[in-house]
Amino acid sequence: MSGRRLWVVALMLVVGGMTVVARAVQVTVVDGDEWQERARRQHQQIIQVPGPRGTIRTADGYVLAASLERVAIQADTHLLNDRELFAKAAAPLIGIDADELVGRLTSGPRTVWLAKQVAVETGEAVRELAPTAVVLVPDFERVYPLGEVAAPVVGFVGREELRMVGRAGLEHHFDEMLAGDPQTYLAINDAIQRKVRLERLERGREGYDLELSLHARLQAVCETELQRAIRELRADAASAVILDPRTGAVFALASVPSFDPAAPGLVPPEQWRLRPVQDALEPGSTVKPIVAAAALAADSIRPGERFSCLGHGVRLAGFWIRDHVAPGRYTLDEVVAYSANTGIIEVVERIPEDALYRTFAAFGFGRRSEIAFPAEARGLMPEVRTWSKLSRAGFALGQELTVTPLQVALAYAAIANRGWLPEPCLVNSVFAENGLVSDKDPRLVRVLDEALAARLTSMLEAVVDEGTGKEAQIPGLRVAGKTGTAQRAINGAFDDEHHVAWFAGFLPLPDPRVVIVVAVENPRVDFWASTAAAPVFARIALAAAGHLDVPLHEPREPQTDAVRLARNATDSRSHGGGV
Amino acid sequence: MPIKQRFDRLLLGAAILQVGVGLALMASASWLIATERYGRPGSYFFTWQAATAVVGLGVLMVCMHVRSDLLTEPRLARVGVGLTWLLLVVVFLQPPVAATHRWLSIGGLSLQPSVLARVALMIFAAVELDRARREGWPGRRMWSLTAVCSFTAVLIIIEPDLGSGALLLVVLTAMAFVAGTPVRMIAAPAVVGVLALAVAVVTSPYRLARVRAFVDPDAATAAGWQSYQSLVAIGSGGITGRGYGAGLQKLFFLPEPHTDFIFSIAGEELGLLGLLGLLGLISLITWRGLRIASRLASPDRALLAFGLTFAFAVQSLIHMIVCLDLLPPKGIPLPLVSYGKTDLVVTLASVGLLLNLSREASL
Repeated sequence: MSGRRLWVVALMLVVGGMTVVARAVQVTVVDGDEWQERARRQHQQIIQVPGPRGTIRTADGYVLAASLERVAIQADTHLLNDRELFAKAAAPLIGIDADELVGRLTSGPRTVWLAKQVAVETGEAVRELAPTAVVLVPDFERVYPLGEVAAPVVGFVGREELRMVGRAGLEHHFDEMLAGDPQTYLAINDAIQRKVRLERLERGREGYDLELSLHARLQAVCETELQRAIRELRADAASAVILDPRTGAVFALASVPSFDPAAPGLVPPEQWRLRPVQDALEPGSTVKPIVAAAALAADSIRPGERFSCLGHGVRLAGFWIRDHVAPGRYTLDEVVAYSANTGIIEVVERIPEDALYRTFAAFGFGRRSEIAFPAEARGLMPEVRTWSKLSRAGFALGQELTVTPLQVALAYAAIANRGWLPEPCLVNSVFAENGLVSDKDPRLVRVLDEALAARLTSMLEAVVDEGTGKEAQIPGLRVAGKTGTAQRAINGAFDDEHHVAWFAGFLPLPDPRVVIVVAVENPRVDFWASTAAAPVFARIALAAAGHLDVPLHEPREPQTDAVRLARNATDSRSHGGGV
Repeated sequence: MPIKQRFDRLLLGAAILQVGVGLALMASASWLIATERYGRPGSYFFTWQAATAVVGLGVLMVCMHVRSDLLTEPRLARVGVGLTWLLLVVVFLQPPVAATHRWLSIGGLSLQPSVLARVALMIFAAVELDRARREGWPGRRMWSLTAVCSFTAVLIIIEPDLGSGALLLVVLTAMAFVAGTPVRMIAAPAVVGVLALAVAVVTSPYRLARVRAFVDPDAATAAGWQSYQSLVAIGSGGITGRGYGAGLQKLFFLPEPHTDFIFSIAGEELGLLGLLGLLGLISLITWRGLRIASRLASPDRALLAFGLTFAFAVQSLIHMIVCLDLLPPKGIPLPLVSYGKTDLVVTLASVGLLLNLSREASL
């Protein structure tokens, strides 16, 4: 054997080894970044998955909507060794029919969503069955712990793939805030583009939490009372609003019948409506204090002036307006207290049309309150140039315009709040993970001077103390309010079938804490507001007073002029219900 | 001849260490291939390789302790060549596996005759070259040796397994060179061999594709894909690697991560440091083998020791160089590391033979 040749061969091997070292260094160190980038491109894919949706809770701390951490289970059918066996094992875990699952695995696309919004443990159990074929993707389930309570306010979500989309209510209105930004995951892929595992790259902004001004307990009380009213009066629907006249904070927005937000599809879509915001109704006599305000503000009547009220009604431009008060001559306060139709028509005929319109507009009728809610109704308030001879009377009786219960509540809030009209506030604050995002300061607009507001308040107190609103009395509390029995225009004509029984009021005097409006649609047993709506108002008001810790006082003698006058009037005349 | 009682323990230690490292790498590289491609348990390849390693170590012990004069017994060498020819022919009588006749199935076990042929031919060549040297390089003996070697190589190449056939010829040529064969006697067959190789490549579409992909890396071919993915694996491993088991290229990017591209997986998971460690082990084994060869008094045994060592070294080098995309893909496993039962047993047997010879070396 040649020693020299052995060295030659050994040297060649050394050169070969050096080549390996040099090339390895070149690939890993010199060009390392480039190869790493290439590797990243082929292994990794950025996928975006929705993050947790924000919580919606009430001012008194109840959770109305929350997101539970879940997973979605995806399977690559080509990687399942035995699809039937897998389906039989997986189906009971995710609670679906095994045969159906076999069908989905054997026919259809290669990648199949087995289930969405399942518990993490369930997902892991399914993945155990076929670890290489099953991928778990973060998912969330929207839950509504209080069920139907405030459901039309909260709304509900639908799903587009893994994304939750607000479809109604606040879920829709604040969709972007609640949804947050997508969470960015890095999907580590194999050569056949299957996601082998997910690594979170960026958390993304989590959905903001909303704190509503609603009080869950008041909301629940309202809904219960409205359900009772519907049952007892055989009505179609009912609405209620409770708000704070000083800030515009809405404590309750009830709309009955409602729905289960977890399964909104079980009821017809019209039940998804938040009636006090989205439905405009004829306000009836609830607008009489506004007419009085217009008359007093425009100096259209003399102090102490009396108006003749004809018990049988009045014929106006060919229409017969019914009245239910005892015939006689009533002061303005008495006209309001007894809801005298003929009297208010006489009053309204004195007010210049523009002044009347301006006052209604100032109280917020005919325009949206801009409450943070989708599809708010504007209400119908025809402009002066379109008015007929009958229009002023129609306004005075609350028949020629439509309003939402929320608009009525705000208008009454202006009276209760010494002439300051508040802006409604449904969302108190928006919270991010790390604290407050936005908060809302109450905004107020003066629409009445304070003395006029006080005078209207006295009128309304007289309504409850001595007038058509006696059923709204609450022992130990001074209550102001007004009934309204409206006929509804169905296809442009009024009939005797469709009514709205209203009661709008506030308490306690002298410093009102809440404005409450109740509207019962189409009550069949009794459509008169004084007996249909006022008791509902009283029950809700008592609960609200209790909840808001309003102190009760011993019953005492009424002291305002309006009440004294009203009492005198009662002494001499009997009265019926108001229109 | 002096019999030394001590065998080369450093060589044995390095070989066992490399088998251990190989098993670990193989387990990581083959787990998903086993479940995803073959529908086996993830440990399938690892279990087989580990069992084979145990058998291989037994064979190593036998080879280590066999009477050393039997190793270069001319009649045994001829019988060995005859037997391997028999196996190489029988393999064609069996149905093809993966469209080739590389594997012989005997009672459920599969065997690669080409690997056995390599050792048999090396023993035969060591004996014949030594005899030719003593006789003054007679042309007739050299031609017959060339004929035997070429015939064996052709049998392997038409399996088809060009890589193994070419490797065999390279090893035998190197042995002839080291034995002191006149250069003209090597040059003529070498030229013919290279021409034959060129013909084999040009006439076979998939080999041509591999070469073309190698020459023009932009060609988006399957062969180019393998080389590219191999570089992605090694390059993305960087200096320290992604960590053992954390490699991503074995997820179907690299077609044969547990055999042909195990070095790439080592690079991806253990980084440049892992590659250098592996290269260090291979160098250590090669160094010890060449050291034994250079210190053996008996020329035929020295030649055998050289052949065994060179086969190991050059096979390792080709595997690494292919993984580093300096040669087109050949399907050459990394000895002691890649999955391959016959290759592992035969390589361990080679180490056993080297250890056997090491006791005679004047260390």
